[in-house]
Amino acid sequence: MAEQRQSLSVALREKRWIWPLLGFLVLWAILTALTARFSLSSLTGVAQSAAFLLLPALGQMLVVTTGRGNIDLSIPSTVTLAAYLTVLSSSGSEAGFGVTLVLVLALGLLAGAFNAGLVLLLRIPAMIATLASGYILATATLSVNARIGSFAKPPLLAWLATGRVSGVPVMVIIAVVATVLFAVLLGRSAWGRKLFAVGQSVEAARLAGVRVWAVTASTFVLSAVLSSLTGMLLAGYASGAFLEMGTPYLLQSVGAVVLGGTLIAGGSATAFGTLLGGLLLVMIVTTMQVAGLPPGAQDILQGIVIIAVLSVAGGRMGRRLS
Amino acid sequence: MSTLLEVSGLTKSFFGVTVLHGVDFVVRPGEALGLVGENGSGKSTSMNILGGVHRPEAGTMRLDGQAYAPQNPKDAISAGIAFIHQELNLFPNLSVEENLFVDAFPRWNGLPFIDRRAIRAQTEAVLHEVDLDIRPSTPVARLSQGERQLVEIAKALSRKARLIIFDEPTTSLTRPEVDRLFGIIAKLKARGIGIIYISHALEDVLAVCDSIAVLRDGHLAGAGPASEMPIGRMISLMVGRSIDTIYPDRQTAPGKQVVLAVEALSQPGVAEKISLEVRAGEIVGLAGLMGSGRSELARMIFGLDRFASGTIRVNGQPLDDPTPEKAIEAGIAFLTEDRRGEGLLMDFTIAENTVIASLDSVAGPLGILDNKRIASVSREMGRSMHLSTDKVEETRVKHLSGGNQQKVVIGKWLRREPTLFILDEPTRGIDVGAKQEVYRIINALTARGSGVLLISSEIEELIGLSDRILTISRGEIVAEFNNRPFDREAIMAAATGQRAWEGASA
Repeated sequence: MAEQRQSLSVALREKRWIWPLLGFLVLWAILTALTARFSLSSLTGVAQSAAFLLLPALGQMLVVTTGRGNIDLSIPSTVTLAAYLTVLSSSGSEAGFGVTLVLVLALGLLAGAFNAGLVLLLRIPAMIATLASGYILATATLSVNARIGSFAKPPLLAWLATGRVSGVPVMVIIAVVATVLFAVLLGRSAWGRKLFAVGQSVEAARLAGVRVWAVTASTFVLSAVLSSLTGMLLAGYASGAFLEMGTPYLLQSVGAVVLGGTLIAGGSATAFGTLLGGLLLVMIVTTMQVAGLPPGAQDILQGIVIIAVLSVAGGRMGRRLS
Repeated sequence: MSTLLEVSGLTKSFFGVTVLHGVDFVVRPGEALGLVGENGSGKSTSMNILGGVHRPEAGTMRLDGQAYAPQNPKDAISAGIAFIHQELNLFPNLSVEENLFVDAFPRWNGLPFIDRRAIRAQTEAVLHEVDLDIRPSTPVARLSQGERQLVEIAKALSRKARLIIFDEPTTSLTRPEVDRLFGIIAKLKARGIGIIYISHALEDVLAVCDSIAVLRDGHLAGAGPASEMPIGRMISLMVGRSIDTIYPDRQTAPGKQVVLAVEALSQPGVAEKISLEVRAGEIVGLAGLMGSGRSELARMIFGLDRFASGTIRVNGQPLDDPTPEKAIEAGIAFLTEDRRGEGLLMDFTIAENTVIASLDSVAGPLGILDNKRIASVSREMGRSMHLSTDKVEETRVKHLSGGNQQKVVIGKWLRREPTLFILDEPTRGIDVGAKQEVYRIINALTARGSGVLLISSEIEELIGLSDRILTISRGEIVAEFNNRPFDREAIMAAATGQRAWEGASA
């Protein structure tokens, strides 16, 4: 009996994604019981929004996992600039979409390499480095803002962003596939093991022959590429680009990572948790919308939820398992 | 004679496991009690009870005849009990005087400003008592380990400590610093302060203590005046059997092939034209004080620290601009002196640590790890290392004892079948039984043809294991000892900077 209780508490500590799952289910139950306005189709909407949040959140998760306070604050600017790039470069044809895709990937690679260079070569703390690079990207967006015209949306992009396969949004399928991919990479690949090692102790990882700089750089590059792709998909979803497009992804990417049970101190991460964390966060927003709260109050509440989770989790998630 | 501290029948259990079974001991004013025992024997638990961290289930403590039952560490401090821990608890960014008063700064005329003059005067007084000739405004970051320890003692004195507990105080000190510390302890005793001295270094315990208590598995295995406790008796009480010889016999002789050749390795201020060779199956001991350059040499060879000039060859192949990755690829393994910080990933399991330096060998196509294989190689490692647990996939290494942790570090490197194994303080902070295991493994390693570069502050260990001993002082190899039996005194003399010429031409 005591042993059972112990193994349950161990499971709750080890499988930290249980908490966002519980939170999500509770909110779902409450919403379904209290309001007729919340239906299965609204749930699809929640899943769709969460799917767009997932890619940047996965990127944020990787960067956070390298530890030492690493974080990617350039995500919103990368998302927005990629959306602009998509609108500006699109000609409406499938071949043109190939060009767009290459440009968007190049943006991600460059932005990620730039961040990695600032952090690893110039040894600027990630928080400041990515804040600065985000500012540069935002300024670049401003300079092309005037040139934006009509958006000849490529059909393939339209399908990716808004299409459905037997009722399930393609974006949701992309999100699930990405989650599984990163779960395997984190849990089962040599790269994932090295990432956890670096996040736990740079010295110990280095001594074991892990190329610390390569692992750390790869997370910044992946984060920027994922954000860049998100910007492209968002442009397809919203049929255009606007300046504040990426802004919500700053707080929400961190929120999804934290709510999902990834250690903010680094060294341990869960892709599945990040998916559930994003889902819970979007669910909270939806609940507030259903409750009729104004957008400002929604942002305030989101912030409060993240602070609350971090403070409650101080002993459970924030610190290492003891 | 009066007693300062009387502990009787101390009993404590954690999660149903009794870790202290009615332990008794006595400390008299002006005397030092040596507390020895293997890791897990109950030393830390009894000290934690004394310090108010844990509360005992049974047993009493009396301090100066008064019942003493601390509810928290603050009670212990106000009762006049001070701890000098292995890891010192000072703020490196603050000055010495600020460190001394950081928990209760005297106010200036009742205003919320620090009364600098008061703390300076008091700091100067206590620094004088510990023979530390530094300005109170010196930042602690600028002090050596030994000086920091004296600052800790000064802090205890400034709090009017009556009983000072030293936990492994000599592990990171140079010999002159150790001698200075022992002088200070003698002065403390002369002032009537009681001392509890905990250490694995039994020679030090004998040198400092008036009486000795040996713990084993939470029981008091034996106690008596130091004069009746020679080292052999302490060891046999600690392990519960007598150990004839702690260093196992070598079955094989060193080979001919040179596995490591270092030539004229130099780095200003650290290494001065260091040249040395290690052959297959040979154990080369590197003797020297802390800061002599012995660990730095190891770190340079392994690519952790830079060097300005010189060459390194492994198995005849040059190792240019070494990085840990290249060094590992070349066949070098490195056991660091900082086991917890650098040697292991403390939150990883035994299995995860076992394969971290050889992930490629357990990864399939696309870099996907073969968990079954990882588990089986880790269990195999655990068996050959005589690890205390076979739950390699569940147990995090931070929950292992120091000795078992060290076995995991060694096992991790043995998986790569290194041609050269650099061991920096392989037995630091581990108990006698585990030490013997480590020695057995080192011997097995040489029998297989690996060369070993052994760094240790324990001269006995170097003498007991090495085929050759090099002495390093101020970044220079100052002496070489090629033949057993080694001359302990000459090695010591060379290490402390008095040049010894014996064998230097060989």
